[in-house]
Amino acid sequence: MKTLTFLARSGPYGSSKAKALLDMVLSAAVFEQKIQYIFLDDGVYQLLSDQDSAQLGAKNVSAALPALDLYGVDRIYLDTESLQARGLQSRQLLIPAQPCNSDEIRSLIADSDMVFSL
Amino acid sequence: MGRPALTLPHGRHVALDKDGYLARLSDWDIEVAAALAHQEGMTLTPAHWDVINLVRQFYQEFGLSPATRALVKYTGQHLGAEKGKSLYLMTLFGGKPALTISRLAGLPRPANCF
Amino acid sequence: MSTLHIVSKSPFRTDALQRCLSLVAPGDSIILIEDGVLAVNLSILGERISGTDVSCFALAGDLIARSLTTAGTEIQQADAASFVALVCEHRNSISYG
Repeated sequence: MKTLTFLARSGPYGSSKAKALLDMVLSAAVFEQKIQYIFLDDGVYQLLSDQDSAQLGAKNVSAALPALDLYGVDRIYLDTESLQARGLQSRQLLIPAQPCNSDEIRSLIADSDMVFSL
Repeated sequence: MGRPALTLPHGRHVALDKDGYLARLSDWDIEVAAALAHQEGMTLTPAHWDVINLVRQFYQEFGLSPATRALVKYTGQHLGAEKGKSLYLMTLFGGKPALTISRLAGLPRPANCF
Repeated sequence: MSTLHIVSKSPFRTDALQRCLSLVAPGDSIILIEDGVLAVNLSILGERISGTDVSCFALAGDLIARSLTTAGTEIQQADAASFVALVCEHRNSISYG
Protein backbone atom coordinates (compact mmCIF):
# COMPACT_ATOMS: atom_id res chain seq x y z
CA MET A 1 0.00 0.00 0.00
CA LYS A 2 1.32 3.42 -1.00
CA THR A 3 1.17 6.50 1.20
CA LEU A 4 -0.39 9.36 -0.74
CA THR A 5 -0.27 12.83 0.78
CA PHE A 6 -2.55 15.65 -0.32
CA LEU A 7 -1.66 19.21 0.70
CA ALA A 8 -4.68 21.51 0.63
CA ARG A 9 -3.14 24.98 0.43
CA SER A 10 -5.86 27.10 -1.21
CA GLY A 11 -8.96 28.84 0.13
CA PRO A 12 -12.28 27.19 -0.72
CA TYR A 13 -13.81 29.62 -3.28
CA GLY A 14 -11.09 31.84 -4.81
CA SER A 15 -10.35 29.12 -7.38
CA SER A 16 -11.37 25.55 -8.20
CA LYS A 17 -8.24 24.16 -6.54
CA ALA A 18 -9.90 23.10 -3.28
CA LYS A 19 -12.59 21.14 -5.12
CA ALA A 20 -10.06 19.61 -7.54
CA LEU A 21 -7.87 18.33 -4.72
CA LEU A 22 -10.89 16.94 -2.87
CA ASP A 23 -11.90 15.03 -6.02
CA MET A 24 -8.36 13.61 -6.21
CA VAL A 25 -8.57 12.51 -2.58
CA LEU A 26 -11.94 10.80 -3.11
CA SER A 27 -10.64 9.09 -6.26
CA ALA A 28 -7.49 7.89 -4.52
CA ALA A 29 -9.64 6.54 -1.68
CA VAL A 30 -11.33 4.13 -4.10
CA PHE A 31 -7.96 2.37 -4.48
CA GLU A 32 -7.71 1.85 -0.71
CA GLN A 33 -4.30 3.46 -0.31
CA LYS A 34 -3.02 5.13 2.84
CA ILE A 35 -4.15 8.71 2.38
CA GLN A 36 -2.97 11.73 4.37
CA TYR A 37 -5.03 14.89 3.85
CA ILE A 38 -3.22 17.92 5.24
CA PHE A 39 -4.77 21.39 5.46
CA LEU A 40 -2.28 24.26 5.63
CA ASP A 41 -1.78 27.87 4.54
CA ASP A 42 -5.08 29.26 3.14
CA GLY A 43 -6.29 25.64 2.94
CA VAL A 44 -7.31 25.85 6.61
CA TYR A 45 -10.23 28.07 5.50
CA GLN A 46 -11.68 24.99 3.76
CA LEU A 47 -12.34 23.47 7.19
CA LEU A 48 -14.41 26.33 8.64
CA SER A 49 -17.98 25.39 9.55
CA ASP A 50 -21.00 27.45 8.42
CA GLN A 51 -19.79 28.15 4.88
CA ASP A 52 -22.65 29.30 2.65
CA SER A 53 -21.73 29.80 -1.00
CA ALA A 54 -25.31 30.20 -2.33
CA GLN A 55 -24.78 33.90 -3.15
CA LEU A 56 -21.71 33.01 -5.20
CA GLY A 57 -23.72 30.47 -7.18
CA ALA A 58 -21.05 27.93 -6.27
CA LYS A 59 -21.30 24.52 -4.63
CA ASN A 60 -20.43 24.44 -0.93
CA VAL A 61 -17.04 22.72 -1.01
CA SER A 62 -17.14 21.94 2.69
CA ALA A 63 -20.34 19.85 2.40
CA ALA A 64 -18.32 16.85 1.23
CA LEU A 65 -15.84 16.92 4.13
CA PRO A 66 -18.02 14.95 6.58
CA ALA A 67 -18.22 12.20 3.92
CA LEU A 68 -14.44 11.62 4.03
CA ASP A 69 -14.91 9.10 6.82
CA LEU A 70 -17.31 7.10 4.62
CA TYR A 71 -14.59 7.00 1.95
CA GLY A 72 -12.13 5.63 4.49
CA VAL A 73 -10.11 8.87 4.61
CA ASP A 74 -9.43 9.29 8.30
CA ARG A 75 -5.89 10.71 8.43
CA ILE A 76 -6.76 14.40 8.38
CA TYR A 77 -4.23 16.91 9.64
CA LEU A 78 -4.15 20.62 10.25
CA ASP A 79 -1.21 23.01 10.42
CA THR A 80 -1.65 24.88 13.70
CA GLU A 81 0.66 27.72 12.61
CA SER A 82 -1.51 28.42 9.57
CA LEU A 83 -4.59 28.42 11.78
CA GLN A 84 -3.06 30.81 14.31
CA ALA A 85 -1.64 33.15 11.64
CA ARG A 86 -5.21 33.64 10.38
CA GLY A 87 -6.75 34.22 13.79
CA LEU A 88 -8.81 31.02 13.56
CA GLN A 89 -9.55 28.46 16.24
CA SER A 90 -9.98 24.71 16.00
CA ARG A 91 -13.45 24.91 17.58
CA GLN A 92 -14.63 26.70 14.41
CA LEU A 93 -13.87 23.62 12.31
CA LEU A 94 -16.46 21.42 10.63
CA ILE A 95 -14.62 18.10 10.99
CA PRO A 96 -11.97 16.94 13.43
CA ALA A 97 -8.41 17.28 12.16
CA GLN A 98 -5.29 16.36 14.03
CA PRO A 99 -3.28 19.50 14.88
CA CYS A 100 0.34 19.38 13.70
CA ASN A 101 3.36 21.64 13.92
CA SER A 102 5.78 22.13 11.02
CA ASP A 103 8.08 19.33 12.19
CA GLU A 104 5.20 16.87 12.21
CA ILE A 105 4.05 17.97 8.76
CA ARG A 106 7.58 17.63 7.42
CA SER A 107 7.72 14.06 8.66
CA LEU A 108 4.27 13.24 7.20
CA ILE A 109 5.57 14.47 3.84
CA ALA A 110 8.86 12.61 4.22
CA ASP A 111 6.96 9.34 4.80
CA SER A 112 4.94 9.72 1.58
CA ASP A 113 5.32 7.82 -1.68
CA MET A 114 3.58 10.65 -3.54
CA VAL A 115 2.65 14.21 -2.63
CA PHE A 116 0.06 16.36 -4.38
CA SER A 117 -0.32 20.03 -3.58
CA LEU A 118 -3.07 22.42 -4.69
CA MET B 1 -27.71 14.64 -34.56
CA GLY B 2 -30.13 13.67 -31.81
CA ARG B 3 -29.25 14.15 -28.18
CA PRO B 4 -29.75 11.11 -25.96
CA ALA B 5 -33.15 11.19 -24.35
CA LEU B 6 -35.43 8.95 -22.35
CA THR B 7 -38.95 8.55 -23.65
CA LEU B 8 -41.67 8.20 -21.06
CA PRO B 9 -45.41 7.44 -21.23
CA HIS B 10 -47.56 10.31 -22.56
CA GLY B 11 -44.79 11.39 -24.93
CA ARG B 12 -42.63 12.99 -22.27
CA HIS B 13 -38.91 13.25 -23.08
CA VAL B 14 -36.10 13.65 -20.58
CA ALA B 15 -32.60 14.64 -21.73
CA LEU B 16 -29.68 12.38 -20.79
CA ASP B 17 -25.95 13.04 -20.84
CA LYS B 18 -23.45 10.99 -22.86
CA ASP B 19 -23.20 8.38 -20.07
CA GLY B 20 -26.97 7.97 -19.84
CA TYR B 21 -27.36 10.01 -16.66
CA LEU B 22 -30.00 12.73 -16.36
CA ALA B 23 -28.83 15.98 -17.96
CA ARG B 24 -30.94 17.98 -15.48
CA LEU B 25 -31.26 16.71 -11.93
CA SER B 26 -34.59 18.51 -11.58
CA ASP B 27 -36.16 16.21 -14.20
CA TRP B 28 -36.09 13.27 -11.81
CA ASP B 29 -39.24 11.72 -10.45
CA ILE B 30 -40.57 8.24 -9.73
CA GLU B 31 -41.69 7.75 -13.33
CA VAL B 32 -38.23 8.67 -14.64
CA ALA B 33 -36.56 6.27 -12.20
CA ALA B 34 -38.88 3.44 -13.28
CA ALA B 35 -38.16 4.12 -16.97
CA LEU B 36 -34.39 4.21 -16.38
CA ALA B 37 -34.68 0.93 -14.46
CA HIS B 38 -36.67 -0.57 -17.33
CA GLN B 39 -33.79 0.35 -19.69
CA GLU B 40 -31.53 -1.68 -17.41
CA GLY B 41 -33.98 -4.57 -17.48
CA MET B 42 -34.98 -4.03 -13.85
CA THR B 43 -38.27 -3.64 -12.03
CA LEU B 44 -38.02 -1.53 -8.91
CA THR B 45 -39.17 -3.06 -5.63
CA PRO B 46 -39.44 -1.41 -2.20
CA ALA B 47 -35.92 -2.67 -1.46
CA HIS B 48 -34.62 -0.81 -4.53
CA TRP B 49 -36.48 2.35 -3.53
CA ASP B 50 -34.97 2.30 -0.04
CA VAL B 51 -31.50 2.46 -1.58
CA ILE B 52 -32.42 5.00 -4.28
CA ASN B 53 -33.92 7.34 -1.68
CA LEU B 54 -30.87 6.84 0.52
CA VAL B 55 -28.45 7.76 -2.25
CA ARG B 56 -30.48 10.91 -2.93
CA GLN B 57 -30.18 11.71 0.77
CA PHE B 58 -26.39 11.19 0.49
CA TYR B 59 -26.26 13.66 -2.40
CA GLN B 60 -28.33 16.21 -0.45
CA GLU B 61 -26.07 15.86 2.55
CA PHE B 62 -22.61 15.85 0.92
CA GLY B 63 -23.09 17.17 -2.63
CA LEU B 64 -21.55 13.97 -4.03
CA SER B 65 -22.70 10.85 -5.84
CA PRO B 66 -21.18 8.12 -3.69
CA ALA B 67 -18.54 5.65 -4.80
CA THR B 68 -19.19 2.04 -3.83
CA ARG B 69 -17.24 2.01 -0.58
CA ALA B 70 -18.95 5.13 0.77
CA LEU B 71 -22.35 3.88 -0.39
CA VAL B 72 -21.88 0.52 1.35
CA LYS B 73 -20.92 2.18 4.61
CA TYR B 74 -23.71 4.75 4.45
CA THR B 75 -26.26 2.00 3.68
CA GLY B 76 -25.07 0.08 6.72
CA GLN B 77 -25.48 3.17 8.90
CA HIS B 78 -29.01 3.93 7.69
CA LEU B 79 -30.63 0.67 6.56
CA GLY B 80 -28.90 -1.72 8.94
CA ALA B 81 -25.69 -3.71 8.95
CA GLU B 82 -27.14 -6.67 7.00
CA LYS B 83 -27.82 -4.34 4.03
CA GLY B 84 -24.52 -2.48 4.32
CA LYS B 85 -22.73 -5.00 2.15
CA SER B 86 -21.64 -4.69 -1.47
CA LEU B 87 -23.13 -8.13 -2.16
CA TYR B 88 -26.58 -6.91 -1.07
CA LEU B 89 -26.35 -3.87 -3.37
CA MET B 90 -25.04 -5.99 -6.27
CA THR B 91 -27.92 -8.45 -5.85
CA LEU B 92 -30.37 -5.57 -6.24
CA PHE B 93 -28.59 -3.40 -8.82
CA GLY B 94 -26.10 -5.61 -10.65
CA GLY B 95 -22.32 -5.61 -10.93
CA LYS B 96 -21.63 -1.87 -10.64
CA PRO B 97 -24.13 -0.79 -8.01
CA ALA B 98 -22.75 2.71 -7.35
CA LEU B 99 -23.00 3.67 -11.02
CA THR B 100 -26.44 2.13 -11.50
CA ILE B 101 -27.97 3.54 -8.33
CA SER B 102 -26.79 7.09 -9.04
CA ARG B 103 -28.21 6.82 -12.53
CA LEU B 104 -31.60 5.60 -11.32
CA ALA B 105 -31.62 8.24 -8.59
CA GLY B 106 -31.14 11.01 -11.16
CA LEU B 107 -27.74 12.03 -9.81
CA PRO B 108 -24.53 12.79 -11.76
CA ARG B 109 -22.21 9.89 -12.54
CA PRO B 110 -19.96 9.32 -9.49
CA ALA B 111 -16.78 11.18 -10.41
CA ASN B 112 -14.46 8.86 -8.56
CA CYS B 113 -15.93 5.48 -9.42
CA PHE B 114 -14.20 3.28 -11.95
CA MET C 1 -10.30 62.76 -6.83
CA SER C 2 -10.80 59.70 -4.67
CA THR C 3 -9.79 56.20 -5.64
CA LEU C 4 -11.40 52.82 -4.98
CA HIS C 5 -8.84 50.12 -4.17
CA ILE C 6 -10.07 46.62 -5.07
CA VAL C 7 -8.25 43.72 -3.40
CA SER C 8 -9.12 40.25 -4.75
CA LYS C 9 -6.28 38.02 -3.53
CA SER C 10 -5.50 36.34 -0.22
CA PRO C 11 -3.20 38.50 1.93
CA PHE C 12 -1.33 35.31 2.79
CA ARG C 13 -0.47 34.47 -0.81
CA THR C 14 0.27 37.78 -2.55
CA ASP C 15 1.28 41.29 -1.58
CA ALA C 16 -2.00 42.71 -2.96
CA LEU C 17 -3.20 43.97 0.42
CA GLN C 18 0.20 45.40 1.38
CA ARG C 19 0.47 47.25 -1.93
CA CYS C 20 -3.03 48.62 -1.46
CA LEU C 21 -2.32 49.79 2.08
CA SER C 22 0.83 51.59 0.98
CA LEU C 23 -1.00 53.43 -1.83
CA VAL C 24 -4.33 54.22 -0.17
CA ALA C 25 -4.83 57.96 0.47
CA PRO C 26 -7.21 59.95 2.69
CA GLY C 27 -10.73 59.99 1.22
CA ASP C 28 -10.14 56.72 -0.68
CA SER C 29 -12.06 53.47 -0.15
CA ILE C 30 -10.96 49.85 -0.07
CA ILE C 31 -13.16 46.92 -1.05
CA LEU C 32 -12.21 43.31 -0.39
CA ILE C 33 -13.62 40.80 -2.89
CA GLU C 34 -13.10 37.08 -3.65
CA ASP C 35 -10.12 35.75 -1.63
CA GLY C 36 -9.36 39.38 -0.68
CA VAL C 37 -11.99 39.00 2.06
CA LEU C 38 -9.59 36.68 3.91
CA ALA C 39 -7.98 39.94 5.16
CA VAL C 40 -11.11 40.92 7.05
CA ASN C 41 -9.75 40.25 10.54
CA LEU C 42 -6.11 41.25 9.94
CA SER C 43 -4.74 43.80 12.36
CA ILE C 44 -2.58 45.48 9.69
CA LEU C 45 -5.76 46.42 7.84
CA GLY C 46 -7.70 47.46 10.96
CA GLU C 47 -4.86 49.62 12.20
CA ARG C 48 -4.37 51.26 8.82
CA ILE C 49 -8.02 52.37 8.46
CA SER C 50 -8.80 53.09 12.10
CA GLY C 51 -9.23 56.81 12.81
CA THR C 52 -8.71 57.76 9.15
CA ASP C 53 -11.24 58.78 6.54
CA VAL C 54 -10.48 55.66 4.50
CA SER C 55 -13.61 53.49 4.29
CA CYS C 56 -13.28 49.76 3.97
CA PHE C 57 -15.86 47.34 2.57
CA ALA C 58 -16.04 43.59 2.00
CA LEU C 59 -18.34 41.79 -0.42
CA ALA C 60 -21.01 40.00 1.62
CA GLY C 61 -21.38 36.96 -0.65
CA ASP C 62 -17.66 36.25 -0.47
CA LEU C 63 -17.67 36.61 3.32
CA ILE C 64 -20.65 34.33 3.86
CA ALA C 65 -19.26 31.65 1.55
CA ARG C 66 -16.09 31.53 3.64
CA SER C 67 -17.90 31.68 6.98
CA LEU C 68 -16.28 35.04 7.81
CA THR C 69 -17.85 38.13 9.40
CA THR C 70 -16.98 41.81 9.82
CA ALA C 71 -18.09 41.77 13.47
CA GLY C 72 -15.67 43.66 15.69
CA THR C 73 -14.05 45.46 12.74
CA GLU C 74 -14.58 48.83 11.08
CA ILE C 75 -15.27 47.10 7.78
CA GLN C 76 -18.72 47.46 6.24
CA GLN C 77 -20.45 44.75 4.21
CA ALA C 78 -21.32 45.53 0.60
CA ASP C 79 -23.55 43.71 -1.87
CA ALA C 80 -23.06 43.70 -5.65
CA ALA C 81 -25.15 46.86 -6.11
CA SER C 82 -23.19 48.83 -3.55
CA PHE C 83 -19.95 47.62 -5.16
CA VAL C 84 -21.13 49.14 -8.44
CA ALA C 85 -22.14 52.32 -6.61
CA LEU C 86 -18.67 52.54 -5.06
CA VAL C 87 -17.02 52.22 -8.47
CA CYS C 88 -19.23 55.07 -9.72
CA GLU C 89 -18.63 57.30 -6.68
CA HIS C 90 -14.86 57.16 -7.05
CA ARG C 91 -13.02 58.85 -9.83
CA ASN C 92 -10.60 55.96 -10.33
CA SER C 93 -10.24 52.39 -9.24
CA ILE C 94 -7.17 50.23 -8.85
CA SER C 95 -7.32 46.42 -8.84
CA TYR C 96 -4.75 44.46 -6.94
CA GLY C 97 -4.81 40.93 -8.40
